[in-house]
This record gives sequence, C-alpha cells and structure tokens, in this order.
Amino acid sequence: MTTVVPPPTTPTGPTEADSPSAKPDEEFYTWTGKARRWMLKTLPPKKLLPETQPSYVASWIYVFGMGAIASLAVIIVSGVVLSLNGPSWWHLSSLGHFVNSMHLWSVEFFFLFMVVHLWGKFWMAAWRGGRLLTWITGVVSFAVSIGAAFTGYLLQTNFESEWISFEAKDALNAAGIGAWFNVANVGQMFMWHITLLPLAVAAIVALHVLLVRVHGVVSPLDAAETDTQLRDAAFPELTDKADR
Amino acid sequence: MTKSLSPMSWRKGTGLAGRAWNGTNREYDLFKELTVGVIVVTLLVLAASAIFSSPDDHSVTLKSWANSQPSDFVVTANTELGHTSATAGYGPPYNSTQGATQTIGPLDLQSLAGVKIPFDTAKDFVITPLSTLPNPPAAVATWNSATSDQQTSWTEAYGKALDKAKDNDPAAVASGNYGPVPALTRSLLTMAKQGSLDSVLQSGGSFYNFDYTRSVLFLGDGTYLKDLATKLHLSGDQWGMMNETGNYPGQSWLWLFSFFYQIEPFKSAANADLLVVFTVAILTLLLTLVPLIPGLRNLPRLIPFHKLVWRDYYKRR
Amino acid sequence: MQILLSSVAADASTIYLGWGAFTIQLGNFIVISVMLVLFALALVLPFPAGRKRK
Repeated sequence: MTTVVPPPTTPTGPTEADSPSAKPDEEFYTWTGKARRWMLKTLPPKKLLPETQPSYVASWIYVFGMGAIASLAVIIVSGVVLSLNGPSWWHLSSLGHFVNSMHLWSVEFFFLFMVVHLWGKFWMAAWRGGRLLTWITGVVSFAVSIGAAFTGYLLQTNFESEWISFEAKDALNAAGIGAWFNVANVGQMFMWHITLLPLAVAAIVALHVLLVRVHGVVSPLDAAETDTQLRDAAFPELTDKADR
Repeated sequence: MTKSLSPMSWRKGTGLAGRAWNGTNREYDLFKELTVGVIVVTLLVLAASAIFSSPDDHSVTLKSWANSQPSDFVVTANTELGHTSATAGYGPPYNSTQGATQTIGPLDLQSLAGVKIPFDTAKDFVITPLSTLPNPPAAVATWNSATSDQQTSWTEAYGKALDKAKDNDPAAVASGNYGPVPALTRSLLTMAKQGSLDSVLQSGGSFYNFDYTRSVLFLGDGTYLKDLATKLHLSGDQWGMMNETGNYPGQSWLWLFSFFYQIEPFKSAANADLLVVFTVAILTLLLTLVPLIPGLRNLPRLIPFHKLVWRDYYKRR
Repeated sequence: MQILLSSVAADASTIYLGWGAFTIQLGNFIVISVMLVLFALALVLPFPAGRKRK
C-alpha cells in the first residue's frame, strides 16, 4: 500500500540562513527542488522574519508601511463582513451601518498611511541599491488600491453611488474602457470589488513586502564605509555608550 | 555596474545601498510591530466609526424624479423619443452617433471599443416600457407605424412647444401637430410616478437585475439628478470627484484627477475626459519610473529630508 | 497659505474651504492636513532608542 519514501538527504544541522547555499554540493533535479533552492537563497528564513534591523532604521517614518498593512487587514475583515451580509444590509441594520463606517474609515486610514509612506520612501530615495522593483510594486499597489476603492464607492447603492456611476462613465468611455468596465453595472462592479481587485491589492502588497525583506531597508543617503556604525560593528558597546 | 554610478541610481552597484548591511543593528520585532499596528489601527477605526459614522443619502429613482419634477421628466422623455438627449447622442459604447467620441488627433479609443452596450433611447426608454403595460396606449401603435421623419418632426415640434410653455409644463403647451408624443410621454410619466418604470427599465422584464445602465443614463439626461449632485458639491467642476456628501472625507486620493478638470486647457476642452485620463496616466507612469529619471530621482538629495530621517545615524558617524 | 471660509453650502452644514477658484471640502481638507502633519511629526519626533545588537 504505502510506498516507503527514503528520507531526504538533509544535512545534520538546520540550514544556515546567512549562507543559504549551505550545501553547494547538493543537487536538485526537480522544479520543486530548484524552486526551493532559489527561494532559500533569495529569502532565507532569517531574512524573511528578522529579529534585528540596521541601526539607521530608527525613525517614526518607518511605521507607516506597517500602518497601511494593518489598515488593509481591517479593510478586509470589515469588507468580508459586509459582503457576507449582502449589499443592502448596511442600509437596514445599525450594526451593518457601523461595519460600513469601519470599512470607510479603514480605507481613509489606509490611504493616509500609504501616502505618508510614499512620501517618506521618496525622500529617502529608497529605490537605491537594486530596489527598483520594490518602488514600482509600491506605486502599482497605490494605483490598484485607488481602483479598488473607486469600485467600492460604486457599491454603496445610495445616491452617491448612483451619481458616481453617472459621472465616472465619461472618462472611462472616452478611454475606451467603459465598454468592458461598466460602472453602472452593479453586478460587474461587485465582482471587481470583492474578488479581483482585493486579490490584486493583496498580491502586490505581499510581493512588495517580500521584496523589502529580500533587499533589506535601504541605507542612509550619506552613509559611507568609514561610518562608526560600520567600523565598530564588532564592538557595539563602544558606540552604545556614546549614544546615551 | 561602473564606478561612476550615480548615488541616486536604482542599480545594485557596489555601494553600501546595494550590499547587505553588516554594521550595527538594533533589535526589531516584526510580528510585534504588526500586532501593535493592527490593534492601534483597529482602535482608531472603531473610534472614528463610533464618532463620525458614515454618510448614506437615499438613492433617487425615476419615481421620485417623476413625482418631484414631472415637467423635467416629460421634457427628457421627449428628447429620448426624438434621439436628441445626451445619451442618444453619446456614441460608443451605447450607440454609434457619428462624431460624438472624444479623440486626440487620430486616436479614437471610444470608437475602437465599439458599441458594446447598445440600446435605442426611443425604443428602450419609452416605447418598450409602455408596451409592457396591460393596456398599452394606442399612441404606441401610432408611433410604431410612423416613418422616422414623421417621428422626428413630432418630437421636434413638441420639444419647442415645451420649451415655450410656462415652467415647461406639458399642461400649458399650445396645441400643435405633436402626433402621439404627448400621449406617450404622459403615459410614461404616469408609469414612472407609480414606480413601475424603475423596475421595467432595470430588469427589462426579467426577474433579476444587476445592471442599472439604462436607469442611470435616463436619470442623468434630466436636470433632476444633476441639480441634486451640484447642490451636494459632487459635480466634476466642483472638485466633486473627490468629495463625499456632508463633511465626510471622500476620495481625496483622486485629487490630481479632479484637479485637471478645474483648470484650462482641460476645463473647456471637448475631449477633456480623454486629456485628463492621459495626463494622469502619464504622471502615474512618471511616479512609477522616478528611480529611472535623473532629474526627479535627484530631488531627495537637493531637498534633504533624509537628514531628518537619519539624523541619529548621521550624528554618530 | 490664506484659506478663506468662502461659502457654507446651501445643503445642511457642509463646509467648503476655498482659495480663489479652488475649493476643498472640510473632510478632505482635514485628511490631507493630517497626512502632512503626520509626515512632519514622523521626521521631527525622536524615535525611542531600541536595544542594540551586534
């Protein structure tokens, strides 16, 4: 019945994250194995879930990306509750209205944090040192989020969504998009808003975060090899005292 | 890359930015930050929701339109019959009106997309709904058997007469050769006032409906919907695109899109929508490609906010 | 920047701030202001010193 599979030829110790290709002699024959080798090399566990950050990562500006992600979590939870109860629930129930308010305010906070994060990263020139794709995925996630939010405004099934669908059709039609993306078709907009666009936002944000972990946080613009933080890295006590 | 790589370049290069950091570190707890972040944001959202709630202005219907502004409804219904309404002359994707599309030079994306959501305003907004009545007015048969030239001359004459009548009141229209048009628009008004036009127009006779294109366009052809939106500062030339009803924040992230509609040459251009779409698309592309654009990517060096971000680091160098 | 309270809309108590041809709804104005303030504070406020590691 059960085929006995010989245990994989793992090395005795755990994989050393800092030197991911710890077993250079190990050969991979399958796509799966090669993918695993690539993943471990690109993003070893210690890099994915770090316990330290470079000492220059010490400013409130660094918390806004996480703020946007936390807001996205609240958006998704409140959105799931809204969608599971159907589109008119929030007009009829006070709990529904409150969940709708949470959905609205989490979106406002999401964009608020995202924009501050964007400004911060721009002024830090955070694309330096091979981080182009990190920057691009960030801007794309912003753009896709705007589309996702827009379709949400079309689903309010009240005066505002009525007006927005009338008003917004012109720009979309002029660009030739309206023929396929009909803002007055509530059924179609529902599918965009609760399936495709959230998946797109989540996927791009996930890729963005993974890229941040792969490349690490960009070093200060004026950082140089001669900086104390680099020279004395082996003797932190010295700088530590000077800090206080 | 080469040794002369700009310090602002996105390339990996051989500089510090392109290498793994092997200097001093500080303790950092990713999961703790995430947990604290979610808790803080949840509390903020709960507080904002409890204090400010969210707006919900009741939707308007063909019924509320017909009841509150019957004259505007009749004037609009007449333009739908005569194919002179904004929707009838819109072009793709609703119909193939010549020269109605927005273009930039030879670029005509609207026509390229084609008439994907086709309907005929006279037939679909007026005649077909009236035909669903248990006893359709005789005017429907008269209209259907007339030539299109005859139909046009009736609606033209009736439109002019409505225009002249006091308050555009159909009851105050001077007598003339309007054929079945007054009877048609009167019947449609009755249907709308009773609320049956809403369902007929939305579902087209079937049980289910997910598509409100026809109802929204019909509503928008009158002045009722637009006046309400203007009163709420929601129209495009009022920065309405980013506004929410009441004092609630709206889609402020659409500020740039909205901004171009307020200024020349966009404001008064016939192809304003297309121009704005292209402008915003180009600017978004520029933002995406900032790291590749020498002038833009040097801004962080010229305006050194980074000195504030990394002031602790720079102090201890 | 000089912001004039140009008009109180006919509808309810909605407030629009205006500067010449530009108008901005109060809610949007607050959200955008908060963004700018948060950005400024993030740059200026001291960040608590974390524990150092090698």
